[in-house]
Amino acid sequence: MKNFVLLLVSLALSAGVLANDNLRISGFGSLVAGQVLDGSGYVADYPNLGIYDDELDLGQETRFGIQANATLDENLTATMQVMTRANNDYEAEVEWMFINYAITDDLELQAGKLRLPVYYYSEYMDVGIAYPWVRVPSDAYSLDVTNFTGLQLNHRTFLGSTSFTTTLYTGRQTNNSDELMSYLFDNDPGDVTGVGSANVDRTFTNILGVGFEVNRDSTIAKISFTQSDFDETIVNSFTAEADGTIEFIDVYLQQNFGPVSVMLEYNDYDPFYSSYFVSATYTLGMHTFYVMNSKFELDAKDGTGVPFEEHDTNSLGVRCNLGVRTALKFDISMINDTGATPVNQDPNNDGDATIFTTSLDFMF
Amino acid sequence: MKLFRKIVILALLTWVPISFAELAIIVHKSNPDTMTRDHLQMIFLGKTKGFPSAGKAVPLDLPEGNAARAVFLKKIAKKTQAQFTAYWAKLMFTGKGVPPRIVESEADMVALVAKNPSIIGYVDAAAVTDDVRVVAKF
Repeated sequence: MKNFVLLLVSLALSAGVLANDNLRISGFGSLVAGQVLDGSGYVADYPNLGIYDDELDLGQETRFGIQANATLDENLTATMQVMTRANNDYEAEVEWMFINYAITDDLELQAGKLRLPVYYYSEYMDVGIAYPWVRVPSDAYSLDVTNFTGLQLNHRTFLGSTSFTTTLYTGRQTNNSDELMSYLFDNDPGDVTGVGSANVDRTFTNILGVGFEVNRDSTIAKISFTQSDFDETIVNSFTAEADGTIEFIDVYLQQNFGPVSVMLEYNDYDPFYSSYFVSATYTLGMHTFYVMNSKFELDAKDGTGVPFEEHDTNSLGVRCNLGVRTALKFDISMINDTGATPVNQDPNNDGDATIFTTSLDFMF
Repeated sequence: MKLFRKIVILALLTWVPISFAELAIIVHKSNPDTMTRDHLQMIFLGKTKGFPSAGKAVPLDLPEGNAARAVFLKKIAKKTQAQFTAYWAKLMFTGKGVPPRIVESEADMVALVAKNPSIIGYVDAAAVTDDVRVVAKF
């Protein structure tokens, strides 16, 4: 794996030589530093488990990606994207690896390892330069399964300047030692084995989903529906196995009013939780100012009336474009934790926290 | 007084940016299509891969800082430089498209368009030659 990354890096460095019609090397990255100002911890990234404490930390959300895109023939391309994340010991992981076949001008088939496109920002949530915030809202982007291996069919058609995109996808995904779930079970109140011992393996099979997006100059609307069989094995102070079917529905709306944009996304993950975010941005020259509110709610199953896990976050921030390919962002977020289980898994504190984050996002 | 006037004129010549004539969208001479601004925008943003009737369309771009490119971004792409970059980052890193290739100069752009019926480009109208067809001016 490391050799492959070295190869990619050397390819990138010599891209001037290799930038022919058949191969393109590109990349992106975010250098992110955060610190909890008040409170005992903040989960900034659920799927990859980025958690800040009260010391300035560059190692939770910092990430780099490099991509090779090869044209094999007129209708066939191959894409590979390797990412390295600070919170995963900088281990290189293949995030995307697929063949794209253009069946017609409007219809394409992708086969391989892809991003599970359940959220509006699913496919580029790692590419900080492509959105205004320091991070996609963690409360609303907490699904532990982010990728799948399988097939995806994309169809796009136009009516005037309005585009309609339909996506169908199917495949499977195995998450052995699922980071997020292992972390959550590790700190389960029933755990007597100590920290770092829980292991959760999750497999999603027969993933089947559909997405539909309408895009006009100033309006975007997207809906997605995904279902999957799933089974999991939890090894903790106890061993438990579970299986069942999950359903995920997501709705996204965006309306631009000149320099002002309003975004709203809601999702329901049956049988687990629901979450949403709402944000407004205002762009003035090289600066984009934003406010955001996001919420996560996992209801109690025992009827006590207090949700098992519930938190919402208010964020205020600014993105400054330093150049065409570089942006500097500042964010202050306040999380209000109202659930029975503190989100930071610290039984001696509630999960309320205030956190400051700054990031440098770039692409090449 | 004459000297003062000379200084003012000299200053104006030095400081006023060289005027930009007009943006010309250029295609191969064999291409018979007429195109709306919406269709041109779709081609340059990778939303459609074809001309109305003349087959596959491959857009080209000029380097950052080029005067014609600034006009192109404003009038055709309808995006700022940063928005244009973010737009392509989104498509590129999700395997949905690659941005138009950048050619070094307007002369290169004209030469490439003259050679290949699939290519569509843009230049300052002053750089247009008889080897290409102007499909629209802005």
